[in-house]
Formats: sequence, structure tokens, C-alpha cells
Amino acid sequence: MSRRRFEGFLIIIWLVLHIVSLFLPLSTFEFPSQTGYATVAVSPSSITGSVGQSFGVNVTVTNVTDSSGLYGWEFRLNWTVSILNVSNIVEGSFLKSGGGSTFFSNSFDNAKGHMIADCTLEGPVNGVTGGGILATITFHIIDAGQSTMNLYNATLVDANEIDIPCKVVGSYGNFTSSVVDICLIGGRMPLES
Amino acid sequence: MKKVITGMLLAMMAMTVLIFKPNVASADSPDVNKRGTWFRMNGMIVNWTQDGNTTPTFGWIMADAAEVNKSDTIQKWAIVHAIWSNLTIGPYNPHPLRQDDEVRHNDTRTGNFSYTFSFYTAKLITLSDLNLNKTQTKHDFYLTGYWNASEITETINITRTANMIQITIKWADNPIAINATGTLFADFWAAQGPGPGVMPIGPGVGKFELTIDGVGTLSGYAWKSFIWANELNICDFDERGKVDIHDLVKAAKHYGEVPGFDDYDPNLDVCGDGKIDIGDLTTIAANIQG
Repeated sequence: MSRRRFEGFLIIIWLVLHIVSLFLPLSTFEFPSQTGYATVAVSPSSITGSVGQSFGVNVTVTNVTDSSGLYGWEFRLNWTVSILNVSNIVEGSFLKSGGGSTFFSNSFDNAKGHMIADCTLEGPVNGVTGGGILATITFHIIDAGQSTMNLYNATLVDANEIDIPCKVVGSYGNFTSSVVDICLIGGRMPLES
Repeated sequence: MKKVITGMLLAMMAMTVLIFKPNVASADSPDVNKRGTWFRMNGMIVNWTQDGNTTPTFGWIMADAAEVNKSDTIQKWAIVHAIWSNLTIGPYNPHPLRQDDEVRHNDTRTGNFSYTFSFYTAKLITLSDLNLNKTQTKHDFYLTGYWNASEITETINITRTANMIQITIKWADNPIAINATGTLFADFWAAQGPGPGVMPIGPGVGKFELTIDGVGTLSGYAWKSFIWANELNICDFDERGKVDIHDLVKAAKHYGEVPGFDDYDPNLDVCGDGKIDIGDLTTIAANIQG
């Protein structure tokens, strides 16, 4: 390689590195450190069970530090329709923890594997801070397999009607068929004639 | 080599432009495929004419309406309600339907006391006809239907303690019209109104008239008029194009309020009964799309 070609090669390398470096700050903007964010999560994060059983998961919020506090929340959740059915959704205790009264509403569609829940405080009261349970969802396992409990479009609104930034964390379940134990005690299996 | 460097520099510039290109895609964009016309009007009632006598009046009228084409069938709906009072302006009620403002901020009376006043509500119960075609009706907005109207007598008791003010409300509903026929129309100026001293001026401002049998004619200014090709969602107070927790919170913050409270917002009273209560929150929640 001649010196001229080598210099050209170095310039190209420099330009490529320069272009790549342009993307680094972008990554920083798109994925900021979320250590200070409130988190809305499905708890527990992994679940096991067998067909026919029911289990409950909590949708929790943590790290609400907004100065005017959490006043209302909304989330959506979906799941695999062939594996799970929702049988019940109830409000958690967190929003009431400040002493205020609340309005809670929910709807679910087991044919589409989708639910939505909303809750808000009522009247001129302060929001609540900290963390706790937003809602508890009871699922029934209808078939073996794996299903995510995918939490999305979670929105937290403070007492000034301003969004509280949050990240969401879903859950995962692994469900097995019903186990039927067969035990033979004594006797003899009939032999094929 | 110069060509290579020039090419790389151009590529770098292009990449830089792409990096700073704003992300305009939005999941919240309204569904432009829906076919129809949606209409929203807010109005301020300033006159009430009964038996030929017109009296100054204070109040609001809210109307949402739509003509929607679903499977080549035109469906029409409208939600309209009005609330007004013919109270005269006085030392303790300069804002007749928001007297609490005076109680909280300007009232020099001490101790416990109460005040009683009356106001009126009207609500469209059944829509007979809706027409947004001005060439047919000579009005930008025209509807007829059956209305209920009531005179509400409200007593607000103020109990002051060292730490708080307790407010209790007594409410008496006296129907003055049930299933009465009525007509509402409104017209809007495209650029500006006739001028100061007559009506507010500005684009989208106009006038309305609501006549209900047995009640009389309410008239005044109308504004915030939209005739949209995109879907207007009932209860979408912040007009983000969808009903969500923000709308629910907005109404919930005013929970329990009635005319007489300074924060009372008739737009949040979606049920049109004069109170912001559980019925309104339930209606809003029911309109949140899954």
C-alpha cells in the first residue's frame, strides 16, 4: 500500500468513527438513565402454575416522588388468550393511602386478551407519593404454555394534571398441564392374552 | 481521494440531518378514515326571553354533535345541556353561578352561614333532527328535539372551623318542562363579528338561540366552534383526540362541585344535571377506549 493510499484509508476510518460518534449522544437522549423514574410493574415478574389454577398479580407503582403526588393512573395489559383468562380486577390500596376517596374503573376482553384500568382520586386533595399496589388482577389458567403479561400505555397523572414519567415492566408466566399422578399399589397388571 | 472525502462529508451531513429529524409519528393521531362531521360548541347565555319579556341572564350552553357515516348509514347524535341563572349582580354574588369565589376570597362575613339561590338546567333528551348544512337550514348548526328542564334551588352551608371550611349542599329539583320540544341553532362568523359592544369579535365566534316550549328562549354568544372531519370524542375535554386518564382526572378534581363553586366547570358536567358526580366520572370512564 502506497503512502498516499494509506493516508486515504486513515481519513476514511476517521470519518467513519466521527459518524459513529454522532450517534452516541442520540443514544443518551433516547434511553436516559431511568433511576429516578417511577416504575409501574406487574408483580411477581415470573409466575408458574398449572391448568385449572387461578393466580393473582399485582400491578404496582414505586418511586413516585412527584411534588404534587400521584392523583390518577391508567394502564393497559394484554396476555395470550389461549393460555389465560382474566376473572377479576380490583383496585389496590395505594391511591387511597392518602385518605382520599377514589373512582376506579376497569374493563377486560378475554377474547382479545386485553384489559384497561383507570383510577383517580376525587376532589381537591393532594396526590400520594411513594409506592404501592395500583390494582390486583386474577387470572385463570386455561391451557398449558407461556404467556407474557404485557403492561403498556401506563400513565401516571399528578394533582396538577401533569404526567409523571414512568417506565413499565411486565411479567411472564409458564403454565403446565394438570398433573395426574397414577400409582399402582400391589396387584398385577393384566397381561395381554 | 478528494471525491472520497467529499462523498464522506456529504454522507456525514446527511446522517447529521437524519439524526436531528423530529419524530413526527404519533400513536395518538386521530383516525382519519372515519367518515363524518363532528361539531362542538360552547356558549354563554346572556338573555332569557319569556312571554315577550327579555331579562339579563348568566349561564352556559354546551353542545357536541355528529353526523357519522357507518356502512353507508348516516347516524346522528347530539349531547346538549344548558345551565343558567337570572340572578342579578350584587355585593355577594357578582358571578351568579360561582358565588363560592366570593365566599372564599372576598366575603367579610364571619362564622357559619349559608346562602340559597336558584338556577335552571336544560338537557336534550331525544334528538329529532340535526343539520350541519347551512344551505338547508340557513344556520351553521341546527337541531331539534325533546328537552327536559328544571329549576334547581340550592343551599350552600358554610361551616368554618379553626382548621377547615366545611361545605354542605342542599339540592331541590323542580321540573319545569318534561319532554318538551325545542330548537337550537347557532351561526358563526368566519372572520369577525359585527363589532365591539354587540358581540365578541373574532373567528369562530357567533351567536346561538335555544327555544324550549314552556321555558322560553335563551340566547347569547357561541364560540369555540369546530366542524371537524376527524372524530370528536365525547368527554375529550383536553381535545387530545382520545378520552383517557387525563380527562378523568380533570373531572375528578372537580368532583362534588355544583353551581356556586368558583371552580365549577359546566363542560365537565357531561350528564348535564348540574353536578359533577359519579355519573359524570362513569360516563367519562365508559368513553375511554381500550
